[in-house]
Parts: sequence; structure tokens; C-alpha cells
Amino acid sequence: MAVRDYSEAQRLHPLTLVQRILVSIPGLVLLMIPFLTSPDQNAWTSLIFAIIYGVIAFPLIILRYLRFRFQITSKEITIQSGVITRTNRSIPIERIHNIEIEQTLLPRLLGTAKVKIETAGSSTTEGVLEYVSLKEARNIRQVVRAYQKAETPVESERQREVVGSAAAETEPPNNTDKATEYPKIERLVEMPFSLVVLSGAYRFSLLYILLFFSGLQYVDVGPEEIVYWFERGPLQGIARFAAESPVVTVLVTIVTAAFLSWVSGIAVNINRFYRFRLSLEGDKLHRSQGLLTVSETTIPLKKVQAVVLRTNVLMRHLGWWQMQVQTMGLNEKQRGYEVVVPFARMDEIRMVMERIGAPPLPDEYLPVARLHVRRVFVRYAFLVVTATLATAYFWPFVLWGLTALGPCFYLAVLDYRNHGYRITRDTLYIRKGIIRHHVWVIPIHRCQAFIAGSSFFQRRLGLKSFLVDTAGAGTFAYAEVDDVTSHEADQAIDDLYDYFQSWYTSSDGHRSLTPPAVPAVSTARDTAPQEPSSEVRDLEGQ
Amino acid sequence: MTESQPVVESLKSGGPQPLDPAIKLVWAIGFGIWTAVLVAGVFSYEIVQFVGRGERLLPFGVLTFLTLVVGGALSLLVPRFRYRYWRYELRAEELYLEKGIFNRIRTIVPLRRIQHLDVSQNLIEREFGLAKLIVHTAGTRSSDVVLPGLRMEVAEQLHDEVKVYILEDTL
Repeated sequence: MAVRDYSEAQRLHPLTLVQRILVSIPGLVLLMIPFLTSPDQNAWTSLIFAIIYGVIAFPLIILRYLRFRFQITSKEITIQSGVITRTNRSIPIERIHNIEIEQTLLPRLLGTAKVKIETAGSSTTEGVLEYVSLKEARNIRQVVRAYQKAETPVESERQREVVGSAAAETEPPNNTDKATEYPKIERLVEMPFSLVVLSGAYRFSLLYILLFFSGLQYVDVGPEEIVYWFERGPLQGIARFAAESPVVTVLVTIVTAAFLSWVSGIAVNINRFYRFRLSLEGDKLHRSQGLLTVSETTIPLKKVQAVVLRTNVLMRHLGWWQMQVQTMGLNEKQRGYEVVVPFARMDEIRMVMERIGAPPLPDEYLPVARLHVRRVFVRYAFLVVTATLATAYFWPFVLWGLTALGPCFYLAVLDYRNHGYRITRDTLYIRKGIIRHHVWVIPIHRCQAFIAGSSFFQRRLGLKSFLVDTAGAGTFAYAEVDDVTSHEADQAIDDLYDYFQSWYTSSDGHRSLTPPAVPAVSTARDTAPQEPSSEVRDLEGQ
Repeated sequence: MTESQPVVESLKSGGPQPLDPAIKLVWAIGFGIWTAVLVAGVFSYEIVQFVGRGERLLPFGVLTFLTLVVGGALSLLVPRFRYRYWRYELRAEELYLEKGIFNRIRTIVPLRRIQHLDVSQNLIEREFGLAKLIVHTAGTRSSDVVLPGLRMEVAEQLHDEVKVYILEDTL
């Protein structure tokens, strides 16, 4: 393939200039606003600012462009930049973990893209090429990968071995025929437009509220004017109608809000998942998606900490799921969750999980203690009762709200039924939630800490909760198992920790300090084939 | 692996240890300072109320007194109970912690998961020769596990023993 090399120092794409100037113009206009609206004395300062802009900022943009150079050799990427202080940054090729190509709206119109170079060690993006043409961006990525392969043949060979079944099957064994050989690309997920729309239909977004308010700013109406419209102006009819039949008004408002959020949910999903594609390239997942902003992301399987399946009550009922991977360590922004399958049937998700070497989902989960129902009910009931009584002080008819205690109990039972866990030798599975349902698949060797705890009330009922901490986990919706019996929780933590330890124990019983070279989610079973189900040892059996 | 540790014998395998008793006083002083700040705030509020016009719900000084009593009681009781339930143990391959008055929590931090370690002292702790060991992992919830109330020497020794386990790539 026609891969250009970059051993000579390169400039960025000339259109970069156009884009930077365009982007800086709003700032100029903002500075000029006081001058443009009222040219009195104070506004002269604005004019001075504007002149400063013209004399300094504008030439700076051009100088910055002229003095920016990048160069790619087989050893490193060098970026020279800076107008007043020159920076010369070199990024060793072997340290580069990921090259991300990002295209926002303006670059898309001009056919350019931003290239972000990320390394393993640092938490921020190490180098940015802003902007090069899209073709060039892809070229750069290929060149770097080719250099990486050429640099460390031994390294990549070893990686390939341990990546397990997924990569082993996809990568061709003959790696001598081409000068630049890349892992075979296996397409995992592709979303047709209709599916993107459908996926949006299951989510509600409050984006329209944001749009409404930012729209208001442009229309420039104050609150007094709005009040005026309702009292005497064109909207008087609405106000009168609302006063006459409040119930209908509330209903209409709710229906309208629901409809709007439904529509904007679809719009958001179209914008986000338009032309969603996920492919497996060796030991990396490659994803591209987006309508206004096209983003191409690479997720090394090594960085995957856990798999999270999400759904909501409606989607689940109709058999739709979303799959995310919990990642860590590429850069600050990428910490957290990446959607790898936005909307699919369970079969497809199982397939993707298998391809990336994640352990198979269990058929059954262990229930938590029955007393969980009681605790959840008490929690709901407390909320309902306090809210009702507080309101009933003013409007006694709200006391009817106490009938909500029935549904509360039902919810508590549902909560219990939806909550469960399972521990195998290498994976902890947790499922949880009614309205938002999550299934966590956590490889035990990825655990960071093992925690069991009980609150005052839990102790009275002989219950405990336990969780394992993982890197990059969210700040809410923890993968925590609530309310199992004290004994069960302690046993679970002991087992989990035992299994964790055994990951670091070699066959002769010697424990090494360094972790074995295991890939992210693929398990020992991949390298040493055994039938999975008989290997599965759960708590029930002990 | 721990044979290389000099002078004092390894802190490992001594069973769960309580904290140094002096920590109770450190905690109590901490609470006391907060109480004092709060009392000062409430008191100045009451003075403003007293000087200003308008009927008052409570006679002068009641709020301040209540704050003082509650704050004082907490400063006396909380450290005592906290101390009672705190245990730690450095085991062969993990750090084990147990704590909590109402929410009792047991934490196991595998040593090989530790990213870096700090020994820190605040002003009050320095006065008593105490220090705390802060263990950072890549996890979210346990990103910094704090073990307070250690004698400075013990904290440093723990630090040195655990340091051996810190790896380049703990993910």
C-alpha cells in the first residue's frame, strides 16, 4: 500500500490556518461587542483589544503554524512547536499505545482530522497533530504501527501468544510475506441506520431543555416579557386554559416533555452512534462512530478491566442490551466506560464477548438473602411515608399516597429477584437493578481491593455486603453485592482473594511478585484449554 | 523476601493490631477544634440575633450551649469507639484493615496492587509522634486507603516493607 513515510520534517495541513483563524473569530467578535453596540469612550478599550488581536494573535496563529514540525522515524515521533519558547518533544515509538483520529464538524467539512498520540505512561495525550488531512492521519497511524511491528518482533510475538484465542485465531500465522504486516481486521459489530434510530427510541434525553434555554438566550427575552406574554400577550389563552383545567395542563405538559425527550433521545443516539463500527484488530478493539463528530478509538484489550452489560426495563423486556467495557490507563478522558456494542440482542453480545476473550455469562446467579426484600422495602417505605406525611400536613388528600406502599413492596421483591452474583475461579459476575439493569463481568485478576462491610441495620439482620474494587470504575452504580448473609459474604471475599492469589502462583506453588502476562479479559482457559463448565467452581459447591 | 528488612523484626504475622492509643487524643483534638469553630459561629449568630430586633424562638445562649454539649460529647465518644473497632494487619501478601462504628468495613488490599505509598503527618499528629500510611491503588473506591494512628517508626517500617511490592505496571 502507498504508505508515505515521514522521516522528513513535515508541516501540518495548510487548511489548519483557515480553521484556527475561523475558530479565533468568535473571540474577536466578543471583544468587539461593546464597541459595536455603543461606541462611547469606554468602548475604546475594546477597540484596543481588537487591535491587539490583529497585531498579536493573528500573526501568532501564522507563526505557530510555520514553526510546527513533526517527523516520524523508526525510533520516535518528534514534534517541534512553539513560537517564543521552542519545545522539542520526542515520543519513542515503542511507548505509543494508541493513535486516535478525531474529526469534529469543521475539520470534516475541510477534510482534515486531528491526530492524538497517546502513550502508556502518561495520563494525558502526549502529542497532538492538529490538523492533517484525513488520509494522512490514517497513513500516520499505519506508519507508526508498521514501525512498532518492525521494532519489537519478539515483543509482539509474545503478546500474540498470551492474548489468547481471540487474537490467535484472527492473526495470520504467516507474518513474513509483507514488509508491513498488520493484524487481520475482523468486523464485530456494524449498526445499520434503522437500528441506531431504534436504539434511540429506548432512551430519553433532556437535551431539549438545554436547547430550549440556549435558544432563549439568542431570542433575548427577559422573564418580565414572558410573564407579560402570559398575562396579556399572545399566550393569554394558554394561561387561562391552565387556570381552568390544571389536571389536563399537567397531563399535556408531561406528555409533551416525554415526547420531546424521546425525540431528542433519538437525535442524540443518531449523532453518537451513526455508522457505528467495531472491529477487532489483533489485541485491540477499533471503534468508529458519529455523525457530526466522527471519532475513531482504539481500545487495547490489555486495558480492559471489566465488561458491563446495561439495559433498562423496557429494553430488557424486549431483549435489547448494551455492552460497555471498563477501561483504564490510556488517558484521563478514556478512563471509565466505552460502549463497544450500543444496542444488540444477547446473542450478538455473547458473540462479541467471546471474540474478545471475555468469560461466558453464567446461566444462573446466586440470589442474595431474602431479607434484602425487607431492607429495600423499609428504605422505600421510609421515603414514601416521610414525603406523604410532610405534604399531607398542607394537603390532607395526599394521604392517599400511602397506598404507594403496596407497589413499594412489589418493587422491593423485584429488586431482590434482579439481584444476584456468581463466583467462578476467574470471574465475578454481578447483576443488579430493576429500571436500570447492569451485569458486571469482572475478571478476578483485575481486582484492586476486596471489601466487605455491614451497616448497623445489616448487622442486626446478620447481613453483609461485599464488593471488589476495579480500576476505572464509575463513581456510582457500584458492582456491589448487597445483603448476603454474613457468612456468605466472608466466604465470598475469601474465595475471591484465594482465586486472585492463584493467578499469581505458578504450578510449583511459588508465588511470583510480578503478574503473569495475562491479557485483559481473556482467561487462563484460553491458553490451557479445558472445558469451561466443569472448571467453574461456585460458592454453592462449597 | 522480608528477610532483607533490617533492625526491627518484620511487622508481618503479628495478628490484627490496634492503633496507637495516642490517636484517640489526636482525633479528640481534631473534633474539639471543629466544635470550637462551630461554637464560635453559632455564638456570633446569637449575638447578632440578640442585638437585632424581632422575637426569638430560643433564649440567648441555648444554641451555643447545645452545640457545645453535642460537639463535646462527640469529641469524647467518637474517638473512643473509632479506636475500639480499628484493626490493621500486614500479612504476607496483603494489607488487611478493619474499621467503622456504624458501618463496619473489612478491606483487603493485595500488596501487588499498590501503586504508591505516602507517610503523612498533620500538625497534631506530629505533636504526638504519630503518622498515617496512605496506600494508593488504581481502584476507584480504594484509590487511597488510609491507615492512621501509627507511631512514626512503625509507619516508616510498614512503608519500607510494603515498598518492596510496588510494581511498574499494576494494571
